[in-house]
This record gives sequence, C-alpha cells and structure tokens, in this order.
Amino acid sequence: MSFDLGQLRWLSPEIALFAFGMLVLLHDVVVKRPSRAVSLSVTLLGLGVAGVLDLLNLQYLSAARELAQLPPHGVLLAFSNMLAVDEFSMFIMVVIVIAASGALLIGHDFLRRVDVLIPEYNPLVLFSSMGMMLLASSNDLMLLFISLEVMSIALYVLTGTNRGEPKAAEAAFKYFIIGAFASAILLMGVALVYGSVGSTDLRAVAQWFAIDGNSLSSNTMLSVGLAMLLVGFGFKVAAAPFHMWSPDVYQGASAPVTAFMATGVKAAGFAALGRVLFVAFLQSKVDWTTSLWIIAALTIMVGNIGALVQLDFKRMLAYSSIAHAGYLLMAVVAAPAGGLVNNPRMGGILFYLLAYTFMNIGAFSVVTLFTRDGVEETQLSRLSGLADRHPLVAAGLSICLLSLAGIPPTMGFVGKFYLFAATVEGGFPGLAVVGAIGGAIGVFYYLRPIVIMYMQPAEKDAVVPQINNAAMGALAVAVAGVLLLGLMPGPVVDWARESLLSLATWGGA
Amino acid sequence: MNPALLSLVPAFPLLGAITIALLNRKASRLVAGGIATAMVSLSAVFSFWTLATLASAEEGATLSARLYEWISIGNVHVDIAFLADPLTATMMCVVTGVGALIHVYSIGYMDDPADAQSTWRFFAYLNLFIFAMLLLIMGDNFLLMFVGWEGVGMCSYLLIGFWYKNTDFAKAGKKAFIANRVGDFSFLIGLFMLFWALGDQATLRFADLQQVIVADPGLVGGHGGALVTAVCLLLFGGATGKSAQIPLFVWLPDAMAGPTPVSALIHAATMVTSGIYMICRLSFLFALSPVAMGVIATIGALTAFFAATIAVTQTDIKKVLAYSTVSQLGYMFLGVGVGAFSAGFFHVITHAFFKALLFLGAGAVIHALHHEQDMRKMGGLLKYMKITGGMYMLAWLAIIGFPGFSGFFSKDEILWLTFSANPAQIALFGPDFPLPKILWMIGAITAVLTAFYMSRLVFMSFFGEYRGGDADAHGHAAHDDHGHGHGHKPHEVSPLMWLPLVVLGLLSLGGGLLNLPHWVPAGNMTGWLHHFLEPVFANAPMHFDGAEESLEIPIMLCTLGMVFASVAISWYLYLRRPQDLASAKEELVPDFVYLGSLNKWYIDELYQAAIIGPILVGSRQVLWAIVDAQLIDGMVNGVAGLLRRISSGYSRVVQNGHVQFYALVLAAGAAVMVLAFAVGS
Amino acid sequence: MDHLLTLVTFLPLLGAVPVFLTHDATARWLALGVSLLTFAVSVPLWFLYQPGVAGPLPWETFQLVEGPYPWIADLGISYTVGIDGIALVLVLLTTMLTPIVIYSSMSSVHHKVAQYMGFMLMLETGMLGAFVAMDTFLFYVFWELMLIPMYFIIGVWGGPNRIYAAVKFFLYTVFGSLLMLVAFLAVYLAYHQQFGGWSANILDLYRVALPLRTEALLFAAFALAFAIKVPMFPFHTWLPDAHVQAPTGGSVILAGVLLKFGTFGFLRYAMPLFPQATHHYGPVIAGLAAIGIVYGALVAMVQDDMKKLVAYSSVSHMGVVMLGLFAFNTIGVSGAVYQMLSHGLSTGALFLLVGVIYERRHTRQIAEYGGLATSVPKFAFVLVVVTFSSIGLPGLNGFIGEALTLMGSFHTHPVATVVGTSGVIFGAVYMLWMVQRVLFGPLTNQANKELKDLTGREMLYLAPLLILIVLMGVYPKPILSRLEPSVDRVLLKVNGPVDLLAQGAATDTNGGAR
Repeated sequence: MSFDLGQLRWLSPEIALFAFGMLVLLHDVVVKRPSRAVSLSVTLLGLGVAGVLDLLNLQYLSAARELAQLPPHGVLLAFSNMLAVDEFSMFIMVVIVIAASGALLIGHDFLRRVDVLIPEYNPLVLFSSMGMMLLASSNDLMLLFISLEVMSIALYVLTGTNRGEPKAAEAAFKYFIIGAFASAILLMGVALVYGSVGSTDLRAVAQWFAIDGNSLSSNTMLSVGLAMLLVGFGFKVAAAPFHMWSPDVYQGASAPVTAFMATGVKAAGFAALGRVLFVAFLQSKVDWTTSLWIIAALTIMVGNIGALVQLDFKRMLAYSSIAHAGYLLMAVVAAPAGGLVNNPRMGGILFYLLAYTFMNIGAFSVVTLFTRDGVEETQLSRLSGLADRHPLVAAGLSICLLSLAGIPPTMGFVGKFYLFAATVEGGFPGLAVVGAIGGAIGVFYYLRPIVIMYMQPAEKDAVVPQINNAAMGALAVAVAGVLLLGLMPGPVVDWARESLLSLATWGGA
Repeated sequence: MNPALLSLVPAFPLLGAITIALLNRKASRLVAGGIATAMVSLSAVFSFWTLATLASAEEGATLSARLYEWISIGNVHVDIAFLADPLTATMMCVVTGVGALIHVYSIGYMDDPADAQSTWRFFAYLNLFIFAMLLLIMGDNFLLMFVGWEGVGMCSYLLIGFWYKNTDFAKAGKKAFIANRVGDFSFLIGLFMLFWALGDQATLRFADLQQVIVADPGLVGGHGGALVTAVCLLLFGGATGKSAQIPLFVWLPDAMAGPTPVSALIHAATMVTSGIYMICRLSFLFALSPVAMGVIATIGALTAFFAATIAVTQTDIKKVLAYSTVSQLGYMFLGVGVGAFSAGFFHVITHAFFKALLFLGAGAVIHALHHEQDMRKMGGLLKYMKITGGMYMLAWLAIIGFPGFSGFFSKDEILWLTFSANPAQIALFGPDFPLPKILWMIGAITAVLTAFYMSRLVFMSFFGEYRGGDADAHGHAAHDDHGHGHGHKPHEVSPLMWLPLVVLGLLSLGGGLLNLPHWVPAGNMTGWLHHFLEPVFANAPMHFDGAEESLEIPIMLCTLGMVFASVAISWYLYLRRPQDLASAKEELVPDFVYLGSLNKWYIDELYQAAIIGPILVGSRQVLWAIVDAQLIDGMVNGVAGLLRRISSGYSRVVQNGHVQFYALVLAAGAAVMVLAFAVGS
Repeated sequence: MDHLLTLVTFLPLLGAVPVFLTHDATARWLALGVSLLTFAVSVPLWFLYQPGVAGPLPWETFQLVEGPYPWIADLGISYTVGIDGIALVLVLLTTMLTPIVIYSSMSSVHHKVAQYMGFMLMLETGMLGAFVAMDTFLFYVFWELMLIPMYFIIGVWGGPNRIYAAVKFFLYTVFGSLLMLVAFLAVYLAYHQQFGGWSANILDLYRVALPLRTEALLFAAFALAFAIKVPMFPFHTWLPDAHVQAPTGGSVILAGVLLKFGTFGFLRYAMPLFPQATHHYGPVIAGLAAIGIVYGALVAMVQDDMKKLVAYSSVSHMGVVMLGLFAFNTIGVSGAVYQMLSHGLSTGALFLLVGVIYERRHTRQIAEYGGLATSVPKFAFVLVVVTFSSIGLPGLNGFIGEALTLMGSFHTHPVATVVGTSGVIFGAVYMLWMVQRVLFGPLTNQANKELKDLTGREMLYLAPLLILIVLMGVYPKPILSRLEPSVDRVLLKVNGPVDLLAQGAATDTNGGAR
C-alpha cells in the first residue's frame, strides 16, 4: 500500500501530543521566568486536543472503513500495517488522556511544594503519553517495542525528577535497570516470533496460526518468543512475579508521577498485551491459558496480601495496583479461543482500565496534599483527622477507596463485576473464586485509610493538607466519574464492549 | 343460658386487671381490691349459671362461644373460642368461687402500710391470674389452653416475686417459672407429635381431636401404641411441671415466698391442679396408653409419699402446707392415673376447699403474728383466734380424712379405686404386676403420714401455750420487717379475712355431698359429680373389678384406724408430752432419715450440683471462653494474623529493596515461563 | 401511584443529602421528618398489597412491580422492584423502626449528629432497596450499600473497641457476599445457556435448572453469605462485638432489620434458586440452627454485659427462624417470617431499653444494677413486658412465631426441633435472670437510687413497639394472611422444582436483554 498523507489523520493524536510537547518545552526554555500556570494549561490543552482528535477519528472510523471497502468492524491498517486503526486503541487513548491530565493536575501544586520545577516535566508527560498511545495501536511488534521504549524512557526520567529526594533517584535507577532488563527480554521475544513466523505483523502471526497444524505447541521457538513477550508485558503491568520493582518505584517516585505510572502505563501495557494475545495468539490460547491463569492468581494474591501491612499510602497503592493487574489478567485468561465475540464480557477489561484510572487519580490527588517543607508525607497516619478538617475531601477519598475495594454503587464495583462475569463466563469460576478471596482481603486495607480519617483522633504533629484547586478539581472529576459511571455504566459499557470486539475480527478462525 | 355469655367469664377478670392497671397508684387497697373482687364474683356468677345450665341440660350437652379466628396458617386453624362441658363448668366454679373468696380475704390481708403503694399491682396480677386460669380451663383448643398454661405461670412468677425487694423471693419466682418451662417444653413436644400424627386430619380443637381419635385410634398407634404412649408421657411431663410432681416439684415449696393468699389461690386451689385438669380433658387420649397411665399413677403415689415424708419435719407452717399440697396433688394423679378420673377430679375440688382454708388460716395466723411463720413460736392460738382456729379444725379434719368431711370421701374413693384398679389398665410393669395394690399401699401409708404432720401442725400452733410474742424471737422470715406489734398477744383477724374462712370451712365440711359413695344411702345425691362428669369421660372407658367390693368398707376402716393412731401419736408427742419428743426422735428415728427429711432429701442441692452448676460452668468456661473466644474467633483472627505475618514477612524478605535481587527474581520468573512454554510445545 | 415502592425506597436517600449538609440541630429534626414521611408513604403498601393475587409464574406473588427498566442492558440487568407478602412486612418493619431509632438517637448521639442521621437514612434506603429488589444485581448493590453506613455508624459513634468491631462486621459480610457474587454469576450464565438472552431478574433465574452437584456448590456460596448475616452458628462471632460496640441506634437497626437479610436471603434466593441443594443440605442447616439456638441461649446466660446478652439471644432467636425456614412447610416458614418480625420488635425494644439506662448510668454491666423496679417502675414494667415478648410468652408476638416455627419444623427435623425447642424454652432462663438481677432485689447501688424514670419522649418511641408486641400476639391473622400465599409460592418452588420448570418455560417473563 502506497504512502498516503490521509493516513496521518490516524496519527493526529500522537502528533498533537508531540507538537504540544515541543511547544511547552520551548516555552519553558525560551521564556524568562516561565509561568507554570501557562505551561500547565498549554499541556492540558495539548492533551485535550489529542483527545478531541481521537474522538473525531472514532467518529470517522466507520466512514473510513467504507472508503476502504471494508465490512463494518473490518480491519483498518495504516502505515503499511504498522498501525492498527480501531475502536480499541481509541478507547485506550481516551483513558491515557484522562490519566495524563489527572496526573498533571494533581502534580501542579505538589511539584511547587516539593520544588521539582524542571521545565521538562510537562513535555515528558506528553511524550510518554504519546508512546502509550502508539503502544496501544501498534499492530507490529517492532513499532510496539519502539513505542514501549518511548513511553518508558520518558517515565524513567520522570521518576527521577525529584532530585532532592534520594528515594526518587534510587527508584529511577531500579526502574531503569529492571526496565532495561525486561525490554531486552521483550525484544528477544520479538526476535523469536519473527524467527518462527517470518514477520512481526501481528496479523501475519494470526494468519500463520490459521494454517492447519500450526500451533504454539508445534513450534518451540514461537512459544518461547511468546513467553518472553509475556514477561515483558508482565513487567510493564506489574504482574507477579515481574512486579518486584513496583512497590519501590511507586513509593520512590513523586506522587503525580506514580499516579501517571499506575494508570497510564497499566492502560497502555494491557492494551499491548491484549492486542498481542487476542490478535496474534488467540487461536492457540490453550497453550498459554494455564501459565497466565497462574500468573493472574499469583498477582492477585501477592498484591492483596502484600498491601495488608503497608503503612505508606503510596506503597499500599502500589500493591493495590498489582492486585488490580491480577483482576484484569483474570479476564484476559477468560478470552475465548473461538473469538472474542463468544465472551461479551471481555469489554470489562477496557471498562475497568477507565474505572481504575478514575479511582487511582482520585486517591493520589489526596496523597499529593501532604507535604512538609518540601518533603512528601505519605504515611497513612497523616490522614488522621481529615474527616473533621476537610469532610468533603475525606468523603471523596473514601468513595475512591470503596470503589477500589469494589463496593457498589461505584464504577470499581461494576468493573469488577464485569471482570468476574467475564471470568465465570469464560469457564474459569475457580479463578473467579481466587479473585473473590483476594478482593475480600483487599477490602481490609482499603478500609484502613477510612478508619484513620473517620475513626481515629487527629495525631499531634498533624501535617496540614495543602488543599489546592487543581488537585481538588481532579478529585472532583474522579469522584463524579466513579459515581456516575457506577450508577449509569450502560453507555460506557457498550462502548467498551464494541471497542474490544474491534480486536475480535483479527482473531481469525 | 346463651352460649355467647361464656366469653364474659374470662372477660371480667381481664377487664378488672386492665382497669386497675390504668388506675395504678390512684387505686387504694380498697378500690383495687373492690374492683378485683367484683370482677371475679361476676365471673363466678356466670360460672355457676353455666354449671346450672349444663346440669339441667340433657347428657353430653356443651356450651361454646367463638370470638374470632386467632391463627390460621397451613393446616393450623385456631380460634379464640371457649368450650364449657361439665368438667370445664365445675372447674370454672371452683376457680372463680374460691378465687372470689380469696380476693375478699386479700383485701383484709394486704393491709401492710409498706405495700400501700403496690397493692394495686397485687390485685391486678390476681385478676390477671384468674383470667389466665380461665383461658386454660375454657380454651377450646390446645394453643389457647397453652396460653392460659403459660399465663398462669407468668402470673405466679409475678406474684411470688411480688415482694421483689427480697432477692430470695424474686429468685423463687424465677425458679417457679423455669421449672414450669421445663414442663412446658415436654408439653409442647407432645403437642407437636400429636398434631403431626393426625396427618391431614390434624387439628388442635379438643372436640375435633376427640372425634378424630375416637373414630380411628390407629392414627396415634392404637391402644397401647408407642406413639400415643410417647405423646401422653410428654404431655404428662408438662403436668409434672405445672402440678409440682416428681421430678419438677422443687419450685412449689419456694413459691410460698409469695403473699399467703397467692399460695392459697395459685399454689393450692387452682393453678397446680391444671395438670390433673389437662389429663382429664384428654382422658380419651390417655386411656389409650396403659403404660402412660401406669407412669402417672406411680409418679403420683411416689410424689404423695415423698412430699409427706418431708412435711413431717418442717417447722415453717407454710412449708408444711406446701409439701402437703405436693402430696395431695400426688393423690390426684394417682386417681386419674388408675383411671378414676372423676375421683381424681373430685379430690381436686375438695382439696381446693380445705387447702385454701388451711393456707388462708395460716395466713391469718401469720398476719396476726406479724409475719411469724415458725410453728415453734406459735401455740395456743385457738384461744386468741376462735373463728380462725375453729375453721382450721374443720380443714384439718377434712385433710386427714375424718369420716363425713369432704376429704374423707374424695381420698377414700381414690384409695379404693386404686386398690381395685385393673392391672391391665396401668400396665407399667406388664399386666400381671400387682401395681394397683402396691400403689394403694403407698397411698395408705401417705394417708397416715398426712394425718401425722397435719395434726402436728395443728397441735403445735393452735393448742398448748403461746410460745411467741417476745420481741427478740420475732420472725424475720417475711419481707421487710416493720417494727410494730412486738410483744402483745395475737388477736382475731378482721371479718374481711374470717368470713371467707367460714365459707371455706363449711365447704370443707360438706364438700363430700358432691359425690357421695354408693354405700351411703342418699338416693340420687349419690355420686352426683360422677354422673355429671360421665359424658366427659365416656370415651375413656376404665374398668375396676368389683370383685373385692365387699372389701371396700373393711379396707377403709383399717386405713381409718391407722390414721387415728397416727393422730394420737402426734397428739402424744406434740401436746401431751412434748418433753419426750427429743428422746423419742433419738430412739425411733435414725439421724439420716430425720436430717434427710428436714433438708428435703437434698433435692435442690442435687439439681444444683448435677444440672444447673455444670450448665453454668460449661457455658462460661467452655462455650463462651473456649468455643467462641478461642476456637471460632481464634480461627478468624488467626487467619487474619497469618495473612499479616505473611504480608510483613514478604515485604521484609522478598521486597528487600535490592535491585540485584529483583533482577534475579525477574530472570527466574522469565526462565520458568520460557521453560513452561518450551516444555509445553 | 405506580412508583410507590421506588418513592419509599429512595425518599430516605433523598433526605440524607440535606441532612448531611445541615447543622446538627436541624439535622436531627430533618432526619426525623424524612423518616416519618417515608413511613407515612409506606403505609399504603399494606393496603395496596392484595394477598393471594399471583402473577403468571406459579411462584410469582410480586405486586406493585415497577420495571423492568433496563439498567445495564448489556448484562440484562434492569431496575425491577416489587414486593410479595414477605417483603411487604419487612419493608414496613424497616420504615417503622427507622424513625424510632432516629428519634431515640437524638439524646444519645452528641457529636457529628448530622452525619449520623445522614448515614441512618442512607442505611434505610439500602435496607428497603434490598427488600424490594427483584433484580439480583440490584439486590446485591443494595445489600452492599447497607454495609457502608452501618460500618460508619459502628466505627465512628461506637464504643471503645469500635474499630475492631466495625472492620470485623464489614469483612465478614464482604467475604461472604463476594463468593455469593461469583455463584450468582454462575446462575446468571446458566440462565443464558438454558434460555438464551441475559437476565438477572430473580423470576427468570428461578427457571434455571442445575444438576445437584452444581447446585450444591452454588448453594454453599449463597448460604455462606446469608449464614454470616443471620448469623448462624458458627459464623456468629461478629455479632456480639458489633452489638456491644455499636451505638444504641446501630444495635437496634442491626438486630431489628439487618440480621433479617440473612434469613430473607435464604428465602428469596438461596432456597428457591437451588431447591435440590436446599433439601440436600436441609438437615445440616437445621442441625446448625438447633445448635445455634441452644448455644446462643447458653452463652447469653453467662454474659455480664446486657448488650452482649441480648446479642447472643439474637443468635438464639435467629436460629429459630432458620429452623422454621428449613421446615419446608407453610406453618414453619410462615412462623419463621413472623418470628423475624417479632424478633425485630422485641430485640429492638430491648436494645432501646438498654440504651435508656446506659444513657443514665453509662454502664451496661448487669452487676452495676439491681432493684431498679423500685427507682424506675415504668422502665421496669416495659422491660418486663418486652422480656416476656422475647421469651415467647403466649399472648404476645413472640409466641406465635416460635410456636408455628417449631410446630412446622418438628415435622421435617424432629430431633433438631426438640433440641431447638429446649433452647427456646430455656431462653426464659437468661432473660428472666437478667431481669431479676437488674430490676429486683434491694436497691443497693447508690447511683441507681435517683435514677430518672422513662421520660415522655422515651415512652413515646417505645409505645409503638409495645402496642405491636401485644397486637401481634392477640391478632396475628392480618399478617399471617398476607404471608401465607407468598410463602406457599416459595415452597412450591422449593419443594417441587421439576414440574414447575415446565410451567416456567411455558410463560416467559424475561425482564432482561435478549
């Protein structure tokens, strides 16, 4: 297929992010005494534009399919099959936009307080988001690897931005070392896949499976390749046993960065994982079900049990994010080999990613409130007395935590309900039971902050929470999302389902 | 009379109770007592009217009144409805009649200024009790009877604990209620068994029940069937609670903590006889189970004897009467047990007369002596209290069965019918075992003991010299002691109190006329009650071999002889030569017998040690401390703790912050994955 | 008024919003007003519900049905509410108890009153919703929604050890309900496989037929969730803690209504959904119930804290209810539901009374009292009446339920019933002992001498309970006649699943998505 500029429209969100990133960079470098407010607003504008463009693309998609004489849900590829153009990636992009803007909002005042005032901060977020978006829509393992690196390298830097904080430096270092290691394994996996199928095009892999007699079990090199891919993704989404880095890194990085990591990376990572497994390897699902089952169960347990004794808010949320990766993996395990259509609940993965983004941004927005002379105060005990001092903030945080715990009527509950439904309908009630037990354990540590806020007296040397509009705005939006989409999930649920099914057609068979 | 009026009989006392409760403190002793008495008297009037109606109506006629449908679910259909047959009517008259007298008496008795604030409560309870008792009697179905059954229990609980400031009295009330509950438990189970046994003919109405079972005894396993035996025994279990028989009699003596009129009404005349009433009501059922009948008769006889042995040594006048009541109730069960339903019920009536009198008389004495209950501090009271004393003599003669007095006829009939009962009808140890004769023996001996301890009571308190009256020996047995009346001699009580005594005295004297034995030439007066009740027991055919009829008089005479002998002995010991009493005791009675009797054979202690204690300890030490706290909660908290330990261990050991280690784990994980996939292919 | 149920359900939540925002002084009366209004609006239900009128399905007696309004169409989840006789009486119990609790809390709650009242109203909506929900998903949402306010009520306004109690309460319930959720999903899937389309409507799910082995597993999951809530021995240990720590109002609602969801759940979900398993496990559950009755009574007997005593008595009484439910006959089950009401009233009243003296003396130790009958006669009178009601004295409400329950279950589980009956009968022991130690005997403790007797206010909120205690004892018919048809329908489903499936399939009432 010849290069046609029209295809650029499918890249417009990424391009917008890049352009605005450069713009902000310039502004911060060129302008004397640059205004953070301006810089932030421009950055947010960039994300907004990207989001709008993404939605416009979504609008245009069906028309474009007709133009290309494709059936509805037909496969639309761009840039010589590098880029997948489908509802799936577009949904993920929305999540990423929300995650990034949320992270930026809650970070604005916080970064001033901890005096992280490097001009690169906002652009880095944008560039990283760009990487995530590409990752979500790459139909080719090469592009997939590159965008993964784009995303990650920006993140490595962001993690270390808080130079005054040795923990941050250490975290960045760990993240980078292990990350590099994981990337290497991933790349090796790509190579092996290419070696055995002769292409890095996911679709080509699917077609290879379509040929009789071809299956993972018949091709060791390919299966090893997949194994390595899974390790790579497992690292990114912090699935056990590739999760080790996340508690330290989450705790070390400054809160907004952690929030961004927890939400954006998770979304992009699962997007890539989902695309690779559902598009390329769905037909020989039998061969990877068991190991993924084990990983999912392990992840749920490690995450929930690990979180039980954490007294640091960020570290607790780190384990919590591991647990949630586990819940999402349950649904991945439940994917039906015969094509995603056969399990209409799979959309829960996307819905849950959105839910998770909302509730996590909400939770982190409160974490960022606690600093004392330039140092983060992230011990849970800092929350004590919050219910009396700022009842609304406390209520908001409580709602987000209950949502994380999966208590109705919140988005977290609906999402979890979907994941469990998917798991049961996919024929894995056992895994669902593991999830249920994990969830029950989880409730315990999600309740602890509430206990501290509402039921314990304020501590002596209480840290005064630095209420600021940006963070509170983020919190408000998050709570609104969590509640509204918890009570009226219908439309988003349908959208998520359709989006996931846009992968289905790739399932071959 | 119009059957609908039947509902008025229980309605009046209920109305009274409510009115008094509404007036509460505003109602003085006289007002409250007046209302209560009026109400009971009214229902007494209607009761006698009912009796008259039935007596004049043709045989087998009954009156019934239905108020409304109470419970209706599944195949349970129960009305608030009343049924009056000869049995009911007679019992109604006894309860309301004696009840009315005791109400009058109470007005006089409850004049203690310390109670002025609470007499209204006393009379409200008293009326409430009459109401419950009437439900028990008149209810046309099992559940309504059970309402009364528990209701009287509740009222007795409240009345025994009337002087609740005294912890022991409150405890006595609780003990009574719980002992009754134990009986109720058995009663309920029996009820359930019976109900389900009838299958789709299941009913709780006595009338239908009788029809169904008489029509097809097979439903309950037929004559002598295991099922009917079980049912009867369980129902009888209920009776042992309510009517203070072995093994549940322990509550009655303590129940004497209540004001004496209460003892007279509830714990002598009415409530405690409801067990016998229940068995009479269900005679058609019990007659089907010789074993059950045997058990009833045996338990009755044993209780009668056992209680008498205790009564012999008690010194508290009310305690003596209490055990005497238990003993007399035993007689009644002996009667119904051997199938002499009308005889047993006859004794219920006569006993109501003379035992009420005995208690009220004792009450008068106690009242006159300012709550002195110890007979050793009495004596010679006849001199000071002519009327009370005189009436007391009548009651005494009645209970020891002096010829011509009411007790004589009823007790004699029971003993005779026991003697001549057909062993096959009380086949506890098989049809050939001479159970009847043995039971008669026990009964006769008990009669002798009765004569002894009752005479002892009378001689100790009414004859000889007055031994009380000195301030320091003043009794503190009763509720809070209010220091007046020390020293001066006892005096006759007010008319309000002695009038009822006179009426009861006459009844104790002439009560026998109700049911004269066949050997008394009295024309159609002979065995009136027996004939009147015949239709009720028509479905419980019991046979007594008339072969030994010639023996009846001689046997009666020899019993009589022994009775007089024992009266004489007690006269000698307690009146003629009291100084020999101690030595006689030394020589004749082994210590353990005397002490055993004095301490009620340590039954309470036994129950405490064998049942109550272990339950309490077990519940606290085992169930609560171990099962709840350690086992269950231990497990829950244990799991929680384990998870925490794992968690902290994990985040200490595994999440140790060493990047090399993390890399290692990652590598290891990767290796495992790769291997798994490689092997898989 | 064709949205009456929805109105009744959400009125409290609506009211909760301003209550949360106003100041304590106004919040008190506002909350009372809202709850009273809710009660007023709920009263017509009693008259609108016509016993005996049934829907197309043989086991359907739901009336005043609203919906199905598609909610999450994709899942076939809809907003569907309706009541049968069983839900009817429980709804009224709830709407009646809540204002009483709110009114009584006015004097007992002193800090963060607005929030307390708000949570109470939130709680009411949760409870009402769970009773009226006909969609399983909806039920689950309300079921969990109840947890949050109660968790706060215990945890914020509770006693010294409140946090442990609150968390224990929350975790116990959540653990059970998450497994229930998975089991529900399995049934939900089975419906899809058997009838196509998706529906969470309970009437549709009733049609699902499963092999015994599957049923057994799913029933176990449901049963666990509900058994914890009841609470059945040996899952009861959260209750004493929760009760002792909770503020009076919390205890009243907890004992009065929340526990009922366990038994209600069995009756509405676990039993009809899995008839075979229900019968298969019947003896086990009846056995546990019987043990629970005796166990609760015995442990209650040795308590020194009045609230703990009443809490364990609840374990005993709810055991009776369970025994009745698993009698599988009209008498037993109706008796059980009646017993649920009676227990709600009498135990509620007991907790209120304990609260009354606790407010005056700030102790619940029985040893601290004694002879109160002298100093506070009114209080003594009420306590004695309620005690008689609680020990099932004939003529009062407790008797009807217990008698019917035991009568019914004796047919099905004789042994368990005999054991259970003994427990019921000896329930007299611990209650009377408590009464005796608190009310009777000499007035020793100086502090009790000038104790204030029941105030007019306290009389006012106790009166309705007392009236009902007597009324339900002497004239149970109106309630029973409303229960019987619904109970019969449930039993029809529980006892005869096979032929019913045919009829069920014949008439299609799928409320869900196709």
